[in-house]
Amino acid sequence: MGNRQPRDLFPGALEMMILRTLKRQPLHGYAIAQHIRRTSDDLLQIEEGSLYPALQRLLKEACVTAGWGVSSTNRRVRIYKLTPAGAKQLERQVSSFEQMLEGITRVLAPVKP
Amino acid sequence: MNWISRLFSRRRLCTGLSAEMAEHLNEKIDDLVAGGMSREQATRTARREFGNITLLEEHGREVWQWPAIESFFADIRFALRMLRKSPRFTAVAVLTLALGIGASTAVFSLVDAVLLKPLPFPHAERIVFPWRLPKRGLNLGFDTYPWGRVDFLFFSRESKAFEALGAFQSDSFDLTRSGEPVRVDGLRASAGFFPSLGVSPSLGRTFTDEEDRPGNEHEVVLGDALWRQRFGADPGILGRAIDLNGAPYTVIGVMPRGFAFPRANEMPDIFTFAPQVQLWVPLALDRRSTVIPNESDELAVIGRLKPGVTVAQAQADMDIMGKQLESQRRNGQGWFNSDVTPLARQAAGDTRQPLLLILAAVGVVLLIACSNVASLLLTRSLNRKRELTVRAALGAGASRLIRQLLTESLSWRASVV
Repeated sequence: MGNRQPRDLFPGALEMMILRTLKRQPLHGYAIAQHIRRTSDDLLQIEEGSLYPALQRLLKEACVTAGWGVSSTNRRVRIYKLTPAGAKQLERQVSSFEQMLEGITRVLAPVKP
Repeated sequence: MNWISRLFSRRRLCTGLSAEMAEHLNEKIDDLVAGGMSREQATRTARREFGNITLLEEHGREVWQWPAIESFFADIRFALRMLRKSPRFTAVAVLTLALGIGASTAVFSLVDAVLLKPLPFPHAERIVFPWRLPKRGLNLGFDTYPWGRVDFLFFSRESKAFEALGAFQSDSFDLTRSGEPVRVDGLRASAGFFPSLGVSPSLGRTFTDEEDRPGNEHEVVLGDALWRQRFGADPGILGRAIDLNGAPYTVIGVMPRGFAFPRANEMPDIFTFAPQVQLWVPLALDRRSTVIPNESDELAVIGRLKPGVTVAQAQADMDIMGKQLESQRRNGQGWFNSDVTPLARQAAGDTRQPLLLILAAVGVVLLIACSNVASLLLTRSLNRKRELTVRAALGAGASRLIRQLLTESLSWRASVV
């Protein structure tokens, strides 16, 4: 017990990063995890496994599609691909996230004397 | 995709999930080994960074499910297995609860039928019986005492609280001129009787005020049972003449099925009403307001309160009128007390107190049964500590465990019913 508190940032953050990652190219789960880890310079401590529930949620919302294929290292993997609906969703989420971030930043900015 | 097809396709969608996750782990382990880690260490690292596989897989599946419902069914299946595995515990608990619940259900349905079911009259809460009480301190052997003719006439003239006030009196009649002569139980009722009850006949009409006068009282309203048995449910019965005690009466109405007011067992003992009233004729009281010597009217009174008037207000009204009557009569002191009884209380009669008592007793029995079962459960939960610890270790949250235990309790409570 006690391992339920999410290690990702806020609800939806992981999904947003997955969508952004898939916007470049279709990838399988491990590659998505690697990409997020590399591009964030290991700043984000994400439980890799939590990728899969997030991917299932995206599948259900038809933001991504999945198909079995063979990876570059010759493994049988499921490759996820962004759908147009997913791209639109990403745009919406990013803009609302930026707005939120902007707001938080302003509040947190040091008070000018 | 609509939800029906999703329901059937979700197994296909998430069958790959565990394979996919396992493959992820393998790929990561291989990567780490290629980076110079020992395989054992790589496996540990990969697993740590991946998280709780079982739990994550479950979360992945839950995306497609109605998780609450499905885990509920899983819990029920588990609970039933537990029940089968401990038959003695099950038998004791189920029997205890069955007795408690069975008894309280039986008694409650009785209470419901007698005390709670609405009476079959419109606005039945406004129907009251202003019973006359015997003089205080005088033991007549009766709780109530009939009203006289002049008293009733006084009330119906003076009362402010009642919309309608009717007097009635039991009688029986020889019914002739329509087949075999037969003796039927009937009721003499004043014009206010039917309006007080608020029941309309299923055929024809009831008495008018005009017909409720001496010499005019030659109309009769038939009960449904009598109409069917003696007159073959003839719809053309209205206007037909029948003889009651040798006098001609015209049929003006037929009451609806089931209407047989008043029933003897709902009325005070001093009145001798028939178990089933078959017909109603006008009471036709003499309207003179003087007492006729040797008069022996023994009247019961029913009233319908005006809208908004409470039983207490009606009681106050009756008390005032009783005082006025006392002051008019010699030796009238204390003879005109009344008790305004609502119909619901009247109909429940003497059964009310004992019924409530039994209900309380059965409630206590149910409580005892519950506490017995609770202590049984407590004992058993001590033995299940291990199981619960394992479940928690495997990633079940506190709420999930509580839900499982609750579902278990519910499922064998259901097996009691």
